[in-house]
Amino acid sequence: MKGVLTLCAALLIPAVLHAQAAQGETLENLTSRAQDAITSNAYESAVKILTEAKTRFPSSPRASLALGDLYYDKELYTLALGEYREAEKKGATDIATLTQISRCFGKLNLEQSSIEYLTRILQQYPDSTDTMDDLGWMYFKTHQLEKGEKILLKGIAKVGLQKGLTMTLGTIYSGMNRYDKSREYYQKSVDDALRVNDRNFASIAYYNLSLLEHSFFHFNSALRYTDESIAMEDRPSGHLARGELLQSRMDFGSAQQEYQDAYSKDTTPLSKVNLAILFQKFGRLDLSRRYAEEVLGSKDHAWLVYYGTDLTRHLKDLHELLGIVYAGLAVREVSRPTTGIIDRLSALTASVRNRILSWFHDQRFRAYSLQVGTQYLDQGSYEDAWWEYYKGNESYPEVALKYLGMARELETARSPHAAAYYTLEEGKLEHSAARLEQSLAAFDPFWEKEPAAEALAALIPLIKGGAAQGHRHDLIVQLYRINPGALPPAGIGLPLSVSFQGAGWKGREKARVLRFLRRAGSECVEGRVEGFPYSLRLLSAGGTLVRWTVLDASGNVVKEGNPALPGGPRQRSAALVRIILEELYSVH
Amino acid sequence: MRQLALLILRNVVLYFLLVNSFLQLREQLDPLFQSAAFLVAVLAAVAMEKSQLRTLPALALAAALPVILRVLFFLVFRTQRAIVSAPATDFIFFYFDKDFFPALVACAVAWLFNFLALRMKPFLFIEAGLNGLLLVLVFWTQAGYKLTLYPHPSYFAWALAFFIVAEFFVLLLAGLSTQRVDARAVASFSWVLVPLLLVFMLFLLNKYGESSVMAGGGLMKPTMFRFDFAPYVRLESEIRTSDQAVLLFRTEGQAHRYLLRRFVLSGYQANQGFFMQKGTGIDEYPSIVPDSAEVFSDPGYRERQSVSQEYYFLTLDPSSLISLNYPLRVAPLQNWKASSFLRVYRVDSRVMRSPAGPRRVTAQPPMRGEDTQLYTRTGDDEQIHELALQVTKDETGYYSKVASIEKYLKSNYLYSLKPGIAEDGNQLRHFLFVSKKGYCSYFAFAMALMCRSLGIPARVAVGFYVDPQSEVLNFYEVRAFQAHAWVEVYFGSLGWVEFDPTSDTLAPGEEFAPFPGPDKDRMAQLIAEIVKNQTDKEEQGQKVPTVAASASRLGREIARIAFLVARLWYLVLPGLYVLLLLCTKLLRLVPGLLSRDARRRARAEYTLCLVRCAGVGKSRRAAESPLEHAARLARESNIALTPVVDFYLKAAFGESFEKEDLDAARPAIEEFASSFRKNVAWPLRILGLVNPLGAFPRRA
Repeated sequence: MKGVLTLCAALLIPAVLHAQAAQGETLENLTSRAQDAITSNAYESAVKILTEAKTRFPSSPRASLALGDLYYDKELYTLALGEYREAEKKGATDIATLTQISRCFGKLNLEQSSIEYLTRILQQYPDSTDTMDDLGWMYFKTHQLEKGEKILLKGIAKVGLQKGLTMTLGTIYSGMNRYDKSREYYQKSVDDALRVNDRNFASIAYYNLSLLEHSFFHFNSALRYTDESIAMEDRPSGHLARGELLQSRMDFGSAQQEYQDAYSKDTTPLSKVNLAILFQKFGRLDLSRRYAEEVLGSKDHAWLVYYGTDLTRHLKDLHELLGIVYAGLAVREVSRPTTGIIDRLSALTASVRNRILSWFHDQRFRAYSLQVGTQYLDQGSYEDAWWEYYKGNESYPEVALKYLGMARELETARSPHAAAYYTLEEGKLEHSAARLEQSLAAFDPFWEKEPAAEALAALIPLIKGGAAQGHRHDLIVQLYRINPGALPPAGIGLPLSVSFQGAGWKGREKARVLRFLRRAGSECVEGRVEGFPYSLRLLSAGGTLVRWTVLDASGNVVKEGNPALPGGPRQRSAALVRIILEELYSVH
Repeated sequence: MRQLALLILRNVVLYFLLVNSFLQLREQLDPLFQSAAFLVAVLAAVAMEKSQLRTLPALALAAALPVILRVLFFLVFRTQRAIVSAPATDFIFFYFDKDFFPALVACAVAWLFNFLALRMKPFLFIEAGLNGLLLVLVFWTQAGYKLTLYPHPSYFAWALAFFIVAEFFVLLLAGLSTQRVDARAVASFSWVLVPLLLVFMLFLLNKYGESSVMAGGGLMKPTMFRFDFAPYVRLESEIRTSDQAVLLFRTEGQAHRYLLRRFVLSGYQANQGFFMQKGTGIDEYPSIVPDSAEVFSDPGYRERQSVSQEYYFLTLDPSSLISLNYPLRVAPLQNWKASSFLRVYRVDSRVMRSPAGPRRVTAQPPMRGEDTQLYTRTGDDEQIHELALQVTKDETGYYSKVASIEKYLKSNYLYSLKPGIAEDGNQLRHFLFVSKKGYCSYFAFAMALMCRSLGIPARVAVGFYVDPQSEVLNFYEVRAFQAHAWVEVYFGSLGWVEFDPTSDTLAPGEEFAPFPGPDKDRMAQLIAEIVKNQTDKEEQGQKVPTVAASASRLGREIARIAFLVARLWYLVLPGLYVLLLLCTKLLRLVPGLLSRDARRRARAEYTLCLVRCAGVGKSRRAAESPLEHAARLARESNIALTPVVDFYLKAAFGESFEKEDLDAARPAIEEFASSFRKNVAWPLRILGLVNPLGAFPRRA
């Protein structure tokens, strides 16, 4: 029997070889021609040649590998993955092929499959430090921090303090909230990078150090490391980190400049997300919505592979932002001055529409929060898990308070300053003015203006008039000084004593102006009244021009204008108040 | 039984709409919850109707029901949580509400439709129309050919077919179950429903088109490895470039900066940007490469030189015709076996090389009124007009005005791949007055609109720019990032003259290298291939027509006619509808009216009178005899149908009915026609012709 088989093989093999030769080229020739076509950018020819090669030499993985490489270079990761896996089936189980497969999985945000391949590579090639680094990173991305720590420490024990391994380990420790260890390994990666003069790597390591310091509320150190990072190399992420620190100080202009600098270089949507958040914080809601929706509409998520986030968290952040933005737009619509019943109805309709959209995004955000929380819980990251569970249940205070308390217990144990943030959240949930005042007092007046503004926006509606009127006015003034743009989305307006000057005012028009200002949240009285921190002077001689001036308690001009107001009396009043509100609360 | 079948079928249609609307939020909603809520709403409606609750209390109960249910569920959840406090019992509040509130809308529709349909039979017919409206609303989000609801467009077509068939059966069953309405009325009603749906679908298609324009963006529309230009340009907040080689361009003579034109975009709408408006405009020629040499009509532009060019496509769509302005002859060349190129062709153009001619033009050249209207259409942006006036305030000549706008944009604005997002959504104003940075399309838009605002005919052209530095042996390499937009301004007998207002100064912080230089090795390889294979540059001849080619040509013709019909849909569709109605109403009477058989002819004449009466709402009732009908018409409307009925009865039941009898009946018919004209207002008579009533008259 064996003899017959051998004979058959002896007869068949030359026949197959002959058939191949008869068809023309060898595999070598075909792949070389395909390579030439790729070099000439004749991709369709290359695909045709390589597909032909696959048909003619079905047992060889070479054509599949070449096709995989072509697709990978063109960022067609699903196609590339198919080709690489076909090559793997045909026997290409070398480290390069398996690494490419794991990278494709990573680019397609299929982290678990990527981990499976990286683990396989490590079993076959236990000394591959690059694979250890990649696997450590993937473990970080999937919140399997202990596993990541173990594999990276093993790698370091094998090859020493190699910069890639130490930086990933620093990130793992940062995820574990182990500040000292994280700082130590980031510093080691900086040292190693500087030793070999790898400025790009040093820049990334400094950036990571900056994020670590920021998360532990060491704002000055964070800013220092951010500067170091940018000095090493002008990368978008350095500008983003610096922008976030400036945003925390509520320095709109500088933060915007940093984000714009990042945006001009950024190949990821992160700078757009940061710009959207910044615009939302400062009340420029239309712009914020445009940026956020553009990012949400983008379907290319391959960039996520190199960032410490995943698609769920990315989408969660976007939906959270859009939920807030639409809620703000709903308030703005309902409080805008209108020119008649139809305009008012249209404002109310727009407000309802924005409310529904806000609710939708809020629901998406909360669903993603619970999903992310469960991921954290599965990996044993309790602090993050409880925080996400809190955010997911924010509409149900009883449940939310439970998880907030659990997160507070863990975080304040390692970072006592975090208590102020938890008190703020508790105050918002319980509508407790006392807690909000308490958190307000605990924030750093220079670095933590952002949470302070948040606390004030939540606190002001809780302080009603009467005896507390003075205190309420003080709080509004405080919020206005930090961030004028925060007032309209919260339905808050500056308290104004309004005086109408000149002969151009009729009783009905005055009443209309006051009504529009009150609708926008302002506490208004006509004439000069003591105790009001701001006064609005409106001067009209009866023409189309109205001079308006807002003065503070000391009589200094805060904002002023002299617009021409066309149209009938109703349109004029609405246009005047709209211009005043826009000027008063705009941040540039 | 019939009632039950109707209830089920109606709710199948409603559930179909519900499923499709929930598919859009499939990540958010639980299908089981939604289906259960739908069922509860239907059962509640049936129960309320059966219990003969009056309408207002029923409405109040229906409104209270969800509140009661939510309170009850939350009580259960709280108890559950008091016993076991774990994530599963904690999150149940959120998971319930997540589905509960969206379900309210669907439940309200399901309850209301079922309650009204059970209580008021005529609502069944209104429901069909409302369902059609809901269908359009549900699929509205599927604009831009996104079709996220279904994995394949064919499923979408099947779903629509299902809806229409199901709705038809609903109407049929409704007609059968409603004593006052018979099947003929249902069929008549379908005549209303179908055009209504068609009109809805047209709106939907129109929206699809608009959104696909929005989704396309940029200059190019890439597929896997190929490129082509989009026939519209929108201003994006950010674009990316690729340095992939697209084609080789060859022309003799000294190296120049050439502008290879793919499309001219003459149409403009503020919300849509510039777009190609086919079938209008000056010097139009096909935008695809012909199968064999083709000569285009010569507009006879002056002061131009003949320039021959050859194009070797690497990754550009092989059918795309690219040429220098203005092409007179295009000839595809023979490609060779195993060629690196997708397509090779030659173009002979008449090209303007020197600006001396246009410089001499000081007065605006004449142009036909409708062309002027097309090429000076702007979004009526006053600020842009003011800017144009300010920029050209010191210029008096035609050319100098255009040149000053070009210079202004070139020297005061910056080139950027990331112009950013406009706060109010108006990207062009953001470019002109806020950011002052953008990519080529921004500059071209701005210049074209500034010129147009001054009444100067201008249009945007898209294609590639060719850098003289990339020249190797008269070949120029063109890469994807060289995709470009510029402006063409009308100079009368000199033709359309190109102006390129795009700035050469890069915005600070950006690191885009405008031209990294040609890849000489790659070019050498490609040129060697051309030289080796293209020895005689033989033109591709007229192909012998094959069955496949003929079929394809026929297909193209049909597509062309369909395209024309689609463009005039607002005329064609109503026309077709009226034609179809008239055919349905009158065509089947024609044999009878032309018949030599007097009896048959008399019957046809009477039926014609019935059709006319039915059209104005005076049809014969179910239990009415022809004579009773005629008497009622005489009594109520003074219409003299009785004499016609007399001779009809004679024709139908008399022993004999000859030609003479028919002639004797003629005055009766004329009397009917005269009384009809006298007693029915003319608008009603016209409406009677085009409404579907009477399309299916009760048989005599």
